[in-house]
Amino acid sequence: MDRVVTMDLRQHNTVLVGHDRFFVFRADNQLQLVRDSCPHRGGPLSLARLTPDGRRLSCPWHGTRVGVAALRRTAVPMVRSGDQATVVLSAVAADAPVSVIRRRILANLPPERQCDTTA
Amino acid sequence: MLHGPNPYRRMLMPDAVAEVEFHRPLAAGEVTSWRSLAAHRLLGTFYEADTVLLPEQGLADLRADFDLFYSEELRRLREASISDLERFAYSFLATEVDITGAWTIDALDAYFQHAATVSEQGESAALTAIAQARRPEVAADTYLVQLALDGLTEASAMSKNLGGAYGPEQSALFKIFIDEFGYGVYESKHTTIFAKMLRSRAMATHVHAYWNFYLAGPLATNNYYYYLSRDHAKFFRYAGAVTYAERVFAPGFVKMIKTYQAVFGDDIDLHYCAEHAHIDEHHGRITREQVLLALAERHGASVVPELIRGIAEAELFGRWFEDDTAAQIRWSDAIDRYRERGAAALSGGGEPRRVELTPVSPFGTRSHDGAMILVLTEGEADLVTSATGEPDRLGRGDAVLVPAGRTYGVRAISPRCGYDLHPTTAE
Amino acid sequence: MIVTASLTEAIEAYCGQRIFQAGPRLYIDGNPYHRPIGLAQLDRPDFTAPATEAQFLDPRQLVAGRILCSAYESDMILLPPNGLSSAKDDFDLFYSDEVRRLRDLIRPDLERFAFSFLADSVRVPPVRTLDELQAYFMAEVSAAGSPADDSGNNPLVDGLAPVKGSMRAITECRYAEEAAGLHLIQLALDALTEASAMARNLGGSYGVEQSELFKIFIDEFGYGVYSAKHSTIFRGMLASIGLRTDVHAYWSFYLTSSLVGTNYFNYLTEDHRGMFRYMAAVTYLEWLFAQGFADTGIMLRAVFGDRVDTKYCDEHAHIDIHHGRMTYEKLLLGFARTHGESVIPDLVRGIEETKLLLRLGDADFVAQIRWADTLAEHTTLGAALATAAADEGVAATLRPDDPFWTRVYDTDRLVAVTAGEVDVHAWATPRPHRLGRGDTLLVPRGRLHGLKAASSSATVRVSTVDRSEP
Repeated sequence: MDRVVTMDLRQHNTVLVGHDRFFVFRADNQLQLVRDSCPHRGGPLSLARLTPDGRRLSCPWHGTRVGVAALRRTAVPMVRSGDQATVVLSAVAADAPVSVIRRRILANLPPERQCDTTA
Repeated sequence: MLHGPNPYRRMLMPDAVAEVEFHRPLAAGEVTSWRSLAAHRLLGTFYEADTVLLPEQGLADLRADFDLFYSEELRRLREASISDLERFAYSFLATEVDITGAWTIDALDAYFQHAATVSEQGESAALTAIAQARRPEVAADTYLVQLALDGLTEASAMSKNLGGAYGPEQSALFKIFIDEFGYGVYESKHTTIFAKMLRSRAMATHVHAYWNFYLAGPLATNNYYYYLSRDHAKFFRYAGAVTYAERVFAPGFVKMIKTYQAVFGDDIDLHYCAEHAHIDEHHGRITREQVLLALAERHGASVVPELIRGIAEAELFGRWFEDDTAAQIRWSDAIDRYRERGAAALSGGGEPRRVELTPVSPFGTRSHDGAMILVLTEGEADLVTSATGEPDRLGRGDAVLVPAGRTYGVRAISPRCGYDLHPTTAE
Repeated sequence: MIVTASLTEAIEAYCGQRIFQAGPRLYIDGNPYHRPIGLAQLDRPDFTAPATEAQFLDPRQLVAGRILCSAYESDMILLPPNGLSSAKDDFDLFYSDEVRRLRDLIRPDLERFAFSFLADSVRVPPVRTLDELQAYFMAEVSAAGSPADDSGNNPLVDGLAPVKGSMRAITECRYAEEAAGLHLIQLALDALTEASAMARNLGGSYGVEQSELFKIFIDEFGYGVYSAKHSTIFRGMLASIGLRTDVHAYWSFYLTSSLVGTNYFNYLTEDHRGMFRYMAAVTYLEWLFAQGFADTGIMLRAVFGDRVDTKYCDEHAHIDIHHGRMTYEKLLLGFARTHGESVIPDLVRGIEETKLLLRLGDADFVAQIRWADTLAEHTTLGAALATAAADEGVAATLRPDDPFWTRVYDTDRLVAVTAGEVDVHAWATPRPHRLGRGDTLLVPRGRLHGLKAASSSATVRVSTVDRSEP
């Protein structure tokens, strides 16, 4: 079932759907709602930091590097109009609770200065 | 008044603990008594000796305290007395709560939903007391202190239910734990965002800074979850209790946000409450479907009454947490009135108990099983009834009524000071 | 409340509980509370004098290991996968007040008995600073065959390297499937409750390192998804080669060294003074596991071919590269940075003790499979030694439905069948070694085995033999 969720981007940056999470990711001055889940092991990419070149996120769980471009391709349908966003979530169970909340998003901070050495 | 950044230090008031007759277990009506406060401080310390506490600033200067806190001698004492102390503190539950009749899984679910709705629709005694207080900021801090008891070591009792092997229900409980622990990212750990809330109120954030200000009701509630987690014969009760708690947290934090915004406007960081208000809606669903009902399905009728008992007991403790905190807030907030009542009621009565202090006496707090009139007989002293409020200065001859169960400390101002405690029925 | 006069009485009372007595079956299904301890193999259950390293394989260590394992696991939640209904009474007893009281009474003395030798046998090198700790760790893992890769931070894994040590010993067995099965059974002791010891270090408050440990735990626990939990994929591996998947189904086939090794981690996490040793031990093991599980996967495929499901080994060979780096950088060095030189000697000691336990464990396991693989030869050898028995021996009569339990001896023994037929179970197999009337089996010191009558009645005589004399 498709569900439509609206949120005020001044107040909210995260959508919880059952136990799945999506977060508002800013790249190239565009906001997108992307899945908060690293393709390696599901680590919280919203808490990842950008690499110094700004092109990848370094997952806080295992240091997996996820390309920003690849992450943007996971974005769910969303219309932004001013500060209002309308999101269409597909294949959501009818009884799954949906919440919009504000959380700390480390992925939208400027790239980390210190170059870490993890693979 | 506060404990320094040393998680091993806990003022137990050994002299006052000696008043407690431990052979007579607590009754249900005694949860906020001194007997209860004394026992639960001790019990909480016992339980936390089973968790890892290290000071933020590093262990270097506290290695000896670490070694003592976890020492074999203290451990032997703990193991030799913990079961008896638990019996003292919780045996009344067996008679206070009765589960009878033929329960089915549907009946379990119906009861659970009902209990959750009652809580959601009811009002929080403590939040009401905050809203009505003359000094709502101090009152609000008193409530934060009670939440800090668990908030700064969040989910430690739950962690005791992760080990072992019990199938998909174990994984479901773990999903909740992952959120509490902020996905292993320290910045998003719930304890970290709880500390942010305290910091926005200029309050201390180290573990048990406010040890002296924890009330008996909240301590008994916090310990209850450890009690169910230490002895896994009580696992199904734990499952019932945690399901109830996760379900009622969400509406509870929504109410808290409203009250705190009314008191502080934007001058407080309520991210922690907002996080819980939302995430617990999801947790509530997981615990109900994948823990509570799933355990009942898998393990059958014999465990259903235990699940129910956990729900019913958690509901009771939730009420005691609120009522005790509300009573402390109201008393502390209206201490002038209790001074008048103390002075008015002071006539005759039995032999008072005399207490003497100097400015270097260690600071500790306590309560009494019955009401007392505290009369300063020598020197000057501060009466401390809240963690962040201005203490009340008492001069020679000043009296104050201390109702049963109200927690206070006295700090000497003059080089010598003394006070008398007169038991009273004026309450 | 139980009042006991002495440690011995408390141990007897503990082991006398119904759930710690043997039943007639070899394997235990659907009941994680039932653990035959076999106290009867001790002449006197005296644990006052700690076991030395030389006594590591003595029956007292085996018995103490079984008791401690049960003691630690009563701090975990174990429920049978198909529901509690069939084992509710045993659940109640396992977690009862009485059993816990006895447990608390005997645990400290048994720990002293079982683990004191570590302090005597291990020499802790004088590592004091952070730099020294880094150099020490890298030297140790290189010496153990798991150097760092080019980045300097990850354990190097060679998925094609020829297997060595005990993995190779398994492939060289005549009954390689049984030997491999015995290895998985030893892993199952810990793997079916994987990360439970680690869970004891999650509660409390200790800053960034607490979150870092939790990241490892999240992987072990499969992100809250049951099918991804390591214990679940371990069960898949057991099932693929026809082994049982219930917790402690093979209780009687855990070797002494496996029990002591697993207990060591519970010991360090149950008494939080051991936490720094624990963190270092975990770091060292996670680092070695990357290559270790790659080797295990190679061994299993060599023994079982395509039918074995090695996802568990593949998972560890992959994820432990990460865990090796994470534990090294964030836990080992993290604790050293945060808490300084007051904890570095504890960290080093944890690694040294783990090294010793790994060495003793390998020796015990290889000796067991070599013996179990050659019971026929040891029967021939026994016959040759029969006249060299040092004493008259002790006779016992066995019947098929007698309680089954396993034991070790503290000296070499000859087991002679004087009537009927007897099956010898030295590992978990549907084809035990059968002794007929007149057969004599040499059972070397420390070798785990259980006997079961294969005829309606059988008589055995067990005597001491001293092989050092000509």
